[in-house]
Amino acid sequence: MNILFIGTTGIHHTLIAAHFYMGRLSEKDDYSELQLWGDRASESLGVPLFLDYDHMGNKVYVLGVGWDVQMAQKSIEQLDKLLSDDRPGLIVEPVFIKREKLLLFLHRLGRMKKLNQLVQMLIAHLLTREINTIQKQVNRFKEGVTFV
Amino acid sequence: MAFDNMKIIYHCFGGSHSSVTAAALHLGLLNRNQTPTAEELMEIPYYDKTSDSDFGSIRFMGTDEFGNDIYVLGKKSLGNRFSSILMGVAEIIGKQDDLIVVNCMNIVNWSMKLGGFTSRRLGLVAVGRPVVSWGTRKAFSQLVNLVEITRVNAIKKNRELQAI
Repeated sequence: MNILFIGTTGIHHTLIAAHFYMGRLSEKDDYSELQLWGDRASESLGVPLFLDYDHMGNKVYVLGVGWDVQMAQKSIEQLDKLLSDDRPGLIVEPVFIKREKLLLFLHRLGRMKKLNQLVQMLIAHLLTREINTIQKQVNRFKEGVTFV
Repeated sequence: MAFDNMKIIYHCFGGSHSSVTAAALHLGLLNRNQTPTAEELMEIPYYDKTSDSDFGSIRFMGTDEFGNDIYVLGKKSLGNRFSSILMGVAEIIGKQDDLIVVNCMNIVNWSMKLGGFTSRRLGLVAVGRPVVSWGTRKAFSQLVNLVEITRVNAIKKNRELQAI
């Protein structure tokens, strides 16, 4: 099975959520050290980014989808159903934070190279306040998910 | 000639005008040699008839003569990366060879944007619909080209797969 965490960006809160899920991160760790953290080049490709396998051998991916995460989830799930003949090959889990639109705005602002370093610092600071929210979502996901 | 069934998804902002017209062309619901009238456009399923709940929904339009299933999708503001997103998802479930995704947004002109917004978002159908129809008719030849390229790509892709 493939697990796809989606969010406004795939390289910030979504990445944290995926690592929480895999048990590779605790609330006290420095998440800016994560591979792919703030990796604009990978994000710009627009494809799901493979992270690793979880403890059950499921592949874990992250993906940034822009403003409308719920709509993207709907399209992706329908596409999976269409291509997999109603036997889902994918679990899509959206990751929401309170300031995700601000995060997306900052991420886009970071396109200007001179601002990128400052932007990454601001995003890291913004996410320190959202860690508990992300952790709770991941815990709910773990409790509710069943693998076919 | 036997072909494996492919899924072809035409997408645009609302899934209501350019993608729907392209899909109709692909399926032969419109004559590619003649610019359709506004009435002929209105006969196309979904043309200027969608609602907010249709955003993000992959809607079936029909099956072409090669057995490929044709769909339309309104992606709202998900942008140019959307084709990559869909193909990337197809790849991780191992179905990238079964899918072609076509972005119709490059063909959408200002009349279509203005008319579509006025009709679908503001609900002023009497004002917006003539404007979007006019814009669609203006972009028709470009849509014909886009569809022809897509049809050729689908045939090529199928031949490559059959050669493996």
